[in-house]
Formats: sequence, C-alpha cells, structure tokens
Amino acid sequence: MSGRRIDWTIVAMLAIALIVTLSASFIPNWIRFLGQLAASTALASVGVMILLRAGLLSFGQSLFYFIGGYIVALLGKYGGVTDAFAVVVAAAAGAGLAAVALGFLLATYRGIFFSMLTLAVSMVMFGVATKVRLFGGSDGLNIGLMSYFGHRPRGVDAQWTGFVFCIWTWTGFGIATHVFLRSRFGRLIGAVADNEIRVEYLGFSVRRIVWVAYGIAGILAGAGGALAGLSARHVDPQFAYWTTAGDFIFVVLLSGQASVLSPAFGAFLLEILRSYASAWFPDQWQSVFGAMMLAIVLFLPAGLDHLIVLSGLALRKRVTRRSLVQGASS
Amino acid sequence: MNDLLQCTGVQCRFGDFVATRGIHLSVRESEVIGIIGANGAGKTTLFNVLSGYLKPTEGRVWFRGVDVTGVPPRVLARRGIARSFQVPQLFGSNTVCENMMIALSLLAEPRRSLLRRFSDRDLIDQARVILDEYDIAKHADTVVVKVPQGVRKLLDIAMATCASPDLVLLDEPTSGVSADEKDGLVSRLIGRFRERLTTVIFIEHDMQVVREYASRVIALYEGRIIADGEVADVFADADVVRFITGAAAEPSVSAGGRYASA
Repeated sequence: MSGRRIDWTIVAMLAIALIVTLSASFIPNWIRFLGQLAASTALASVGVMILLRAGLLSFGQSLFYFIGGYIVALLGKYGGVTDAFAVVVAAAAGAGLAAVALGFLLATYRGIFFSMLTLAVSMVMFGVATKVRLFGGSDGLNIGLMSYFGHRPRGVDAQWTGFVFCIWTWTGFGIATHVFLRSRFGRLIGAVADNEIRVEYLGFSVRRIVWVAYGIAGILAGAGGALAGLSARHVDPQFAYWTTAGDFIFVVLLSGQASVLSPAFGAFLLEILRSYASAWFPDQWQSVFGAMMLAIVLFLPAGLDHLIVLSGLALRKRVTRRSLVQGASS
Repeated sequence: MNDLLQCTGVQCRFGDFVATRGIHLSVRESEVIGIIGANGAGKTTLFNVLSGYLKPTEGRVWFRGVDVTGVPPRVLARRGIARSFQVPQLFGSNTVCENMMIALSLLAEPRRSLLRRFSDRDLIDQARVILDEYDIAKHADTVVVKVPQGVRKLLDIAMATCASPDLVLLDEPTSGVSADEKDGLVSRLIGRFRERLTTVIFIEHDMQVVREYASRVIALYEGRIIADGEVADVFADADVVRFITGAAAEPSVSAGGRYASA
C-alpha cells in the first residue's frame, strides 16, 4: 500500500458539491431551499455526531445554532457587514468561543447530567432571546441580502448563489471535520466513550478531549445556524428551542455515525420528510416522525449509513473470495 | 543508594475503612518485586496510590526524588510509571492493532504528531512490531471484545508499557490466564523487562510464579507490610505462613486457610 491513499470521503464530498453546483440551475427552487436548510442542519448534526462518538448526548446544540444565526443578523443590522464569507466565519468563531467557555464547565459532566445541562443552557438562551429588544424579542430579526466578495446578486441569482454558497460551506467545514476526525486526536474521541481510565493512564486528559470535541461541535453548529439564517433571511428565538436540538439528534439517529457525510443525507431526508409529512398529514406530521424514529431504533439501530457499511463489507468479502478462487485456479 | 520510588507512611481511608495503614517502602532501580497478600490486603489500593489514581489520606510518594503524591495518572504515565490492570482496560470497540496504535500515539509519539493521520503506515508498523513481540499479532485485526482473555491481558500490558517506562506496575498479570499459558506469559514478560533493566512491581496470587520470578517479595496483610525482603526469607516468615501462604504449606491448618489465596 502506498503512503498516500485516496480518501474517498473527501472525494465524495467534493463530487457532491461539484455535481450539485453544476446542476443547480436545473434544480427546482423549493428543493434548492430544502438543500440549504439541510446543509445548515447537517453541519450542526455533525457536531452532535462528534459528541455522540465521545458518548455524550448534547441536547443543547441549538444554543450554538442560535448564536451563529444571531451573529449573522446582528452583524448585518448593527455592523453593516453583509459579506457571506465574513459572517459565516464570524458566526463559527463566535459560537466556537461560546462553546469553549461553556465546555470548560461542562467537560466534567457525563450522561444525563451533560444532556440536561446543555438543554438547560439552551433553554435559558431561548428565554432571554424572547425578551431582549436587541434580539428583536420573539419576532426575531430579518437578514438582508448577502454579498459575495463585493458581488451582490439579486432576484433569481441571489437564490442560486445562496444555495451554492451553502453547499460549499458544508463541503469546506465537512472536509475540515473529516480531516480532524481521522487524525490521531480524532480517534481519542471514540476512545473516551470506550474507556476513560485507559486514556488517562496513557497520559492524556479526558477532560481536554471532551472540551475540544465540544468546542468543535459548537463551531459546526454556529456555521450551521449562520447558513440557516442566510437561507431563511430571518432568525428567531426558535433557533435556541429544544426542538431544534432535537432535530439534530433525530438526524444523527436517522443517518448513523459512520462518517461526516452521513448527517448530510439524514438532514436532507429530514427536510424532505418534514415537507411531505406536513403536506400529506397536516395534523399528524409529527407522528410520521415518531413512526420513522421507532422503525430506525427497532430495525436499524446503527442508522441508515450502516446499510452502506454492510454492503461495503459484503462487496469486499466477495472481491477477496473471487481473487482467492482465481489465485487457486491459476 | 539509588531509590527509584519511595513511600512514607501511605495511608488510605475510605470512610471508616482503612485500606492501607502506613506503608513504608523503597524500591531500587531494576528490582523485580512481587507483592503477595490476601484479597482486601490493600495491594491494588497501593497500586492506585503509586500510579496517582488515588491520593493517599496520609503519607507521601516520591518518584526519582520528586514528591508525586496526588499527581494524576496522566502526568505520571508520561514521567515513566506504567500500570496494567487486573481487569484489562482496553478500547472495546477498536481492534487489537488500533488499541496499540492509540497507546503509541499518546505515549510514545511526540504530542504534535497527534494531528497526523491515525491510520498512517508508520504507526501501524510500530504497533505490529510490538504485537509481534508479545506474540499476539495474529489477533491484530480482531475487535478486542472478541479476543481471548490472555490476549487482552497482554495487550493491556503492551499498551501501558509501550514507551519503555522506568517503573512498571502489573496488577495480577496472570489472573484469568489459563494454567498452561501462565508460565510462558510471565517468563516472557519478566524477561522482557529484565533485559531493559526496567523496575517491575507485580501483584500475584500464584506463589510459584512469585518464587520463580521475583527478586524481592513484599507481603501485605490488612493494609500493612508484614514482611519485605529476599524471596526465601519472606516465604519462611512465620506471619507470612500464618496469614498468606499457610494453606498451601500446611493444608490442615484451618486458621490460615481463610486467608490463603494461592
């Protein structure tokens, strides 16, 4: 095997982004919009996935989603900053900083305590956001049109550009996260879930690993929130509400945790499911979600991506068997 | 005198229960010390103190002349105290090889390389070499929850000691290992550490193993050291016979039988 192997996850992400960009003009508007929402949800869900790999269920990633979205809105309203790249970077950095500060306190908690504390902080933020005038109260804030390196598209172009921007932001953060997760440090995140004592006895602080994981999850949720704000051109306190965090968890349950790509499919499925379920079963669309979750937990507890993992394994087994047979006959 | 490790009056109290009461101990470099004692004598508690997992209620621990009382395991591990566990502490969802790779990347490799790719050739090869040395390379690609106990035991030790530590603490290296594997395992382990002049302290219930491989024996009874010295002297000690090895030496003595654990 050569030293440099092709990383298929990165190839797949770039391929998806390229194909989607090239065909963007032919994709109907409403699907493009769903794609934008899916990209936002997917980024935040990758953060939930990272924490789940460390054995931690965060019920409060909505907090950083909120922070990301509101940084974009406030920068536009009070700072006059409307460059899409600048606001997304600012949102990710701001949410990341908030996560580092909060993570300092939360990194020692595990299990239900961690989940409940993250939920509590997010709900406090929701409560504050509905009351504070700076944040527009329960109505939230509107976000103007964005510019991209000085270029400000309008009308149909604006929608196309926004869509492509969301896809590439997802790709950029996704690849960065993937590179992090495949590093030696990235492996430690799963090791924490497996055996904290062993990690400590190997000379590394478990608390620091959890802290870093929490910070990265915060950055991703912040970027996701920024994309959601840009796409809907509006943010409201609902961003910090616990059902938003619930969506991210639902996505990871649905998609599985095999790769940074998985939540993207989960998120897209979620958005499709949500629009069709509310169109076909206007009063019962939430029961559709419930049934879906039940089916996943009962029949495919590792998530949908496990199907891909399994078929990959089956394929590899077949190939090796064939090569063995060939080797024997030759 | 060249003292690697020193304990003065180490006492551990859990509520009303006193696990170790005033342990004084000094360990010279490249000694191989066997610790014997019945269940509850305080052997593992002593290891927990020496490796930094527990802060003693009283007393101090010195390593290479530095006071390390209450210094956490993650710091001591990097200063050269390695510890293996009675129940192997592994990363259950990873393969044997991956476990070794994680250990190497944390202990043996420089910190900055943590950002390098996990599955690079160099790290895999290093892990394979060590697994080969311990003769468990054929299990390399199996998830650890599926390998036999003996392999897990060895992997636990291999991971703890992969950075050539100065002091190795082995908590019952032969427990859970089948009788016919036992001798080979211990001789391989001790031989390996002797070769590198590593200081070893091991807890062991099999008196045959202790007699054969230890250069010095410490006997614990109810949190106290009741004998410490040459192997032959300790096994001849009246208290040791009475409280620890009694049953093995004289099966008819029922008083000693209760504490016998060999």
